[in-house]
Amino acid sequence: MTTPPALEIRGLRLTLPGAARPVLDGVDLTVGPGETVALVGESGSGKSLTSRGALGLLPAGAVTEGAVLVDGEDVLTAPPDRLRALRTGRVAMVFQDPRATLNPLRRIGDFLTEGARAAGVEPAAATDRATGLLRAVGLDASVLAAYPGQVSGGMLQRVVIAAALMGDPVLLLADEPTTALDVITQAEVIALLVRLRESFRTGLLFVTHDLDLAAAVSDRVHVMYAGRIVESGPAEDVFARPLHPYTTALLASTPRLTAPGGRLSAIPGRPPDPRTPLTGCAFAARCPLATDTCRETPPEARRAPGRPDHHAACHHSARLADEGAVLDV
Amino acid sequence: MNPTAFLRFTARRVAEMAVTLLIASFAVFGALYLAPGSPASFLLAGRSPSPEALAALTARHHLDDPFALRYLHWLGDVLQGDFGRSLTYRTDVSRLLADRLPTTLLLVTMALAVVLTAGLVLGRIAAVRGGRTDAAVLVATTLAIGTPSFVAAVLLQGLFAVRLGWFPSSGAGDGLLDRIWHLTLPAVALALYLIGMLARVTRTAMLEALDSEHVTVARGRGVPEHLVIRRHVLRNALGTVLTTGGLIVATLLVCTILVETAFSIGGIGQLLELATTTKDFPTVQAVSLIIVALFMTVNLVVDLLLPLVDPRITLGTRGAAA
Amino acid sequence: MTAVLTRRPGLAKVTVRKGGSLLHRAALGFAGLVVLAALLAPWIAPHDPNAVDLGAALAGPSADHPLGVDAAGRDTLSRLLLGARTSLLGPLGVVVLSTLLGVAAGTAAAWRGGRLDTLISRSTELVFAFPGMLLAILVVSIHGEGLLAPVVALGVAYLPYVSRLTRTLVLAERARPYVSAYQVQGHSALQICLRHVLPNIAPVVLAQSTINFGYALMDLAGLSFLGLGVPPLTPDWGRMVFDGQTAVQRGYPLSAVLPCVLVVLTVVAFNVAGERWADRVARRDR
Repeated sequence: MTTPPALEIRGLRLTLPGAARPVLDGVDLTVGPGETVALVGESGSGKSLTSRGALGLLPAGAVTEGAVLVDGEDVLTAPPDRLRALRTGRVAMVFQDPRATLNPLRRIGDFLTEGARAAGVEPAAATDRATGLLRAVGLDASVLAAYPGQVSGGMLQRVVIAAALMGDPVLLLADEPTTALDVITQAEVIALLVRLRESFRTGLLFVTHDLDLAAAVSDRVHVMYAGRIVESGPAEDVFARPLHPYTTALLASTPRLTAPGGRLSAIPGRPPDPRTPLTGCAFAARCPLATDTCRETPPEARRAPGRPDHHAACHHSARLADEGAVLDV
Repeated sequence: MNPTAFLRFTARRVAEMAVTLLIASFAVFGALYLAPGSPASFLLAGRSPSPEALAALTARHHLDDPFALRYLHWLGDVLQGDFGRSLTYRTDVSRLLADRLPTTLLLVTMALAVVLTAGLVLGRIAAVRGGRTDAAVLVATTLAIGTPSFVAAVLLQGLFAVRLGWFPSSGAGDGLLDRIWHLTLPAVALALYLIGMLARVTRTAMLEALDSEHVTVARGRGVPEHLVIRRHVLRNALGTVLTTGGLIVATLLVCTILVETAFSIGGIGQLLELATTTKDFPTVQAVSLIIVALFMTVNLVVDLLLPLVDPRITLGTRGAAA
Repeated sequence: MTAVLTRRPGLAKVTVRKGGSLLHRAALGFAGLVVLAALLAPWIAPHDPNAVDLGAALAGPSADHPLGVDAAGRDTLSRLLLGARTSLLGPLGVVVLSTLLGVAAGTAAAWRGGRLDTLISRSTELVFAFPGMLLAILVVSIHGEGLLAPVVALGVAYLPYVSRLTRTLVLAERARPYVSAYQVQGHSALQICLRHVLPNIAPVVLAQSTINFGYALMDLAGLSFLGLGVPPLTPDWGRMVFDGQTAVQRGYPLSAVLPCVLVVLTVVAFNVAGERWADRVARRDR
């Protein structure tokens, strides 16, 4: 029997009360065992919702369709105790802001061992494991007794990562784990995540709006826009030869020192309002290639010729493939 | 927490409280001289004394001394537990207090227990369950907050003591169990308003805590819901609830005047009411001072407890009076 | 620094739901009805509130006495109607006094700052150490019964809530550019305060005062219940509960229960209206 993927999301559609269209619309995404997958998009594109969905953390009143399988088990239909067992063990998350992640009134040691103790691990054993993991993330046992307010943000995020590894998860979700940190700490935390993923063989879903970061850490990339996956594929393919104008635009708007001409272009317009229904392609209103077809018919994800793992949902991906990566928006 | 910092903070707060108490005592003492007529005639309040009695009164209150000296004499006596003589009861005020304070403290303690249990439980279920439970608790607490304790006292007395006969309608009883039985209705009457208040404070604080990211994180880490509520919601609401402690005790102490009067319970509340109507000023002074001192002590304790409950609060960030 | 109204703790975050506006309208309606009854009481009361008909003492409701008769043989409905006057007038006095003095003290403290500010803040803290009711009892014990002494005492006791709020609001208002613009144009501080600052902070202060009204009503009714408020013959709800308490113990609760119900409903009505107003003002400010 083959090992199931760490995470397999199939056709996930999520509707919130009062919204005119689903905030997640047919999301397909797979993270293999030990694989790193980046989920990239602007804020509000639904990438955080997707990663939280993998933990079964849904906003109040959310209605879902599709399946979210973690290690082969559907978190959307799992009974509460199964879901809780899943959360203490096979799946864990590193959240965006470590200051908000920890209860400021409880000691760091409590936070680290809380999940394990809830799963029935002896307190002493849980503390031992926490101490070991703290060492693995470069901290010592003295922080166990400290309150979150007494240590730096970077140290806290290391604590959060250590806590995520407590249950030896097959899947680690990292939701913009470095956005709240300063630049140097960011680099350290990323290096730490990459190293730990290798030594613990954990599947990693890395949610970020930072394309360079995504390119640096991930095996595969999914680009999300307005609740849909618009492009997915191996990291080097997606970044070198994007097949969706949104990916192209995102790449063009990312500052980099090596960029030809050093010119930055912002994407004109704003993401579509979730209160209005969408016909056609979600990106049509901001897309330089948009035609009437784009505005009328939503594009299906299609495989790029010659690149079986590279998919894009665009009526014009053939044109992009011909013209190469450079597209003036 | 740093023990020396805590000690220094405690010392500063105790000193501040001593100063405020001193000023309060001066106000209570000086009030006598705002009264129309001479202090002696006011203290006698229309009673016609024998010349010896008048001389005793003058000597006792040092009425021949200058004002500042009189205050110092009085303060010195008060610090030694001597509050003067009651004109109504013809005995030492300290005796009256010693007789009545235990009853009041028992009543206030019982009411406090009722307030804490009912208030915290109601606030918690309103916040956690939401929906209809929340709406029902809101309606009930709105009514409770609009009900003065004397109204609650009279209504409870009419229903449970007179109509149903389950509880005695007056008196404080003898022996502990009998006392508790006698003080049950008064304690509930005293508690009602504060139950409403505390339930709302708890509800609001818990809703705020429920909203925080770390609660979602705890759920996402598989912590069982009852532990999430206890460790991350109730625990974080505790600081806010604690800050109302001073207000709760102050309200209990003041409303005990009404409730003790309604149920004819011989505590210091009823003593204050009787002393006021009979113009027994030394007794009024003593009871007022005791109430103010108790209230300030509770505020001090709350201030000292807060940093222990919430490590984010650095010592002394909260104002002196709240 | 944010201005925070001193509400009954916990009332602050009551979310207004669909039923909220219905409750609010009912509260406003009831408050209006009570005020109207107080204004028209002498004309609509069926009997003289102090006319004694000992033969009918403790009688239940009848055509002649729709709400029955109290232990002294006086018509309960008439006493309730006329009692509305004293029961509302007292708190009104407290609120007017504390608002006027509190706004003056708070504005002076914020505008002048320095020693005056320290002095006012210190005195405020001292007054906080005396619960309002205790202060009122202390004053009554010196000046004797009557409505004036407790109203003044409670006015002083409530003053700090208003002055503290005003101080914060004026400090915030003073930092706004229009104030320095007027100062540059040579307007005096008093002019700027009266013409521009006070009108801007008025809604928040008045919302606070509406909330204080409910507190004051409870405190004054309590004092009357102790026999320390209004003089014996004056019809007053708190006094009626005091007068009717012996009847309650003898099994005739009506003459005491009715004023109890009125006190509760009136306080609730003013609470709901005041909180709603405070919520609206708070939302506008944010």
